[in-house]
Amino acid sequence: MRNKLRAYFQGQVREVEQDRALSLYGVALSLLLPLAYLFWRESFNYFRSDPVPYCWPGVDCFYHPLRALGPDGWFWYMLAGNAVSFFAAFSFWRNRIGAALIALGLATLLKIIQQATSYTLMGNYHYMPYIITLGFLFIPGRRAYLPIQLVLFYVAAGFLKINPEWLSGYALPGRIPYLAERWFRFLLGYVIILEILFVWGLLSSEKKWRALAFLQIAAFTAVSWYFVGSFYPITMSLLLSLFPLSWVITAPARSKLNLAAICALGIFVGAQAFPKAWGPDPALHTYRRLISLNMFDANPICDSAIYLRKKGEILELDGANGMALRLQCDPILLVAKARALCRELKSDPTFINLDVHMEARRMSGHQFETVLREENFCGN
Amino acid sequence: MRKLNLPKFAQRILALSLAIGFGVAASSVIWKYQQSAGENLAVSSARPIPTLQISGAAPANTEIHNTTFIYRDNPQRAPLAPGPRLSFPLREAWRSEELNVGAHTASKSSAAVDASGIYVGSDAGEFRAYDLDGKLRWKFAILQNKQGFHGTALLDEKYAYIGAYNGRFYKFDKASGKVLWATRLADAVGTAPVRLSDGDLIVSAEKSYRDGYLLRLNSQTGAVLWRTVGFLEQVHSSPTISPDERMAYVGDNRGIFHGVSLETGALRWGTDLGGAIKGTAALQNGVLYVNSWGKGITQASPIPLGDVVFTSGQRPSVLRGVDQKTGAEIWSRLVSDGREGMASALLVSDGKKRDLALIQCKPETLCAIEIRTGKVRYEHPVPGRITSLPTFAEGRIYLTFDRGPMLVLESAPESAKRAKP
Repeated sequence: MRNKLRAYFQGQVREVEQDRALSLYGVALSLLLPLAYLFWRESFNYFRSDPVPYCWPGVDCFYHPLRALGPDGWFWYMLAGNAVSFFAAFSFWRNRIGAALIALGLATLLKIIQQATSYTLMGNYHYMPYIITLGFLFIPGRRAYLPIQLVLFYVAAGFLKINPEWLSGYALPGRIPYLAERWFRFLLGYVIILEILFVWGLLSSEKKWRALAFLQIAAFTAVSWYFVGSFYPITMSLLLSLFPLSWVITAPARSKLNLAAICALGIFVGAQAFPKAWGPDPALHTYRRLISLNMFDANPICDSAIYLRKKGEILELDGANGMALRLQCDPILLVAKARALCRELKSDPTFINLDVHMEARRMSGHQFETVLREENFCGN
Repeated sequence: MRKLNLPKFAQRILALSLAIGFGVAASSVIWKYQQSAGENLAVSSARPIPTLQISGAAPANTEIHNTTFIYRDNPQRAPLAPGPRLSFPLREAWRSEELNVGAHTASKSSAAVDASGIYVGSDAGEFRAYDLDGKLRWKFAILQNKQGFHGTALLDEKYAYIGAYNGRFYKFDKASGKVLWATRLADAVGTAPVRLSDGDLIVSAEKSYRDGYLLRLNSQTGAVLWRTVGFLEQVHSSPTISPDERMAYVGDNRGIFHGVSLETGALRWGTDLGGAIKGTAALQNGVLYVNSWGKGITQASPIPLGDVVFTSGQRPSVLRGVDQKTGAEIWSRLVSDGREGMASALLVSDGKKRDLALIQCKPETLCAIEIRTGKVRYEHPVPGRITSLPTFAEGRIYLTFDRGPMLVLESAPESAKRAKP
């Protein structure tokens, strides 16, 4: 077994070592991690002011070791994560692939541990780098697998956008300045065609189709900066850097899709298709899309409240209070809030129980759905 | 399957045709989707509104309980004369702990009282239930409160209905305080609802930006049955209902007084009164009496009483009796330079069958003023400024103040200071 693992690891090292494009791509992937820490810096200020943990479903984060570190501990942990990431980047640059892969794996693990402290740290801009990084670390035939996976991100995102909220522009929080509304809507429709159809040009063997597709994706990424800020576009730029690298630097040998890659791609497609294929709307019932992409697609409208029942009084907490826009209608967060309250109030002799309620609809929806309704939540 | 052996140029034309065809088909589907999406998402008067169903109420109005308390006595908001008999002098029966903290300058919640107890909102974000002897039975508190409760509850035999400044409208079980449903109508609900004979509720609500509307709710589920189009200004007045339950009347802060169809929520007419309408109209004998800020700040709800109408204003605070036919002033009494006159008066009658308005006629003084003559027949000191409507129920007077406790007064047998005419 040990020999097999050693041979496997050496095979991964050899593949990256012999392909300068992959080692440079490793640099890009390593830089994603300090970028994430920079992005989370504001969230850590939130932790300081409101130490209530919002746990991931099924994760008991109340006693997460990182929470015990306190604000200074957070800082040193991030510093350590950044140090490992920069070491990985440097090692990839210097083609010390064995150390680089181990460092990249360790840095990714440190990020996962940190992200597990709170559900508020969720987002596609972590979901996609995880998939690519894990594929880069473990799946042979990287030059064949990774481009397809990157293209499938866009295809999945394109299908997600086929709904009235996106097409009418109501899903987006703003407009492109000086652009007439009808042209803006035209661009929204164009984005879907770009993501589902034109993006496949990135895999073309012909230079002109690749360039055309890449230019369009680059323009889309640049424009998205206006709506989603800098972190998401920079993340996508680093992920997409594989394409120009692999076009400019010739591969030492032809890369083929192997069984592991096909399984990984199949799992990804299944994870996107399953929540949409049947069951309640995953845009509202967000448990159903924990393992898939979510975008500015639904822009749900909701109302939520937690009713705390104590002896002689009932207290109402607004469910969305203090939440970021993306998370205000997320039932996972409401449940996390309620769990934290149950724990906090357990020792209060006047506390009886609490009820949790959320109703939501898509912006284009005609009826509100009961997304969450649980009475006597504590103890369930 | 046979392979097609086409020349290269034909293959390219075929590929191009397929691509164009796909593009056209996709564009037309997307275009159609966009058109329907635009229609669906266009602002309409019947956009669905969430209702938090707390305890799984039945979907239809199958249980209708008798109304036991409504703001200003009836859906026409016109107190019936003679008012309830009240013997003077008065004495304090009890007072609550601090109710209002002065969080907002809007009129405060009046006490809603019936045989089961007293139900009153506070600008500190609480809705409280007291037994008639003053014991607090339960309280409901909005934790992320900004301005609390300013409207007056509607009561029936089992439930209490009230809106809050968080935009939610609630149904409470009177015995336990349990919330049966909560519907978010807008950004703030600060008025008094009215109930129709089929059990539906009519409520006015407002947005934080300048808009407001009237809504009809199913009292059992909290579902919104219709909502009027936006009035383009906030609505601070409570709705008044015609006796045949075909029309609702409400004013907005633009000064437009609206007549609304109760069946559909359609606006039937609007009249510009020249200034914000913040009080509730009184409907009597087919005539609507309503104040506006059009000529001076007048927002209290008038009391029409035969040939005279009693009203009050603020800045300065003036109490007035005006001729019902001509509007000419019969008498007036200056109260202060301040806001004492913003409250509406309670109609009562005394042992000499005089129609009296219970209202603040001096700073920190509750007065009984003879409506036809303006004479002050009685005074009683009170601990603050009254900005709500005094409530008479179960033989007592219930007062809430801009700041301070709820005060309960009752008739006292001993003589007290009488006001000089």
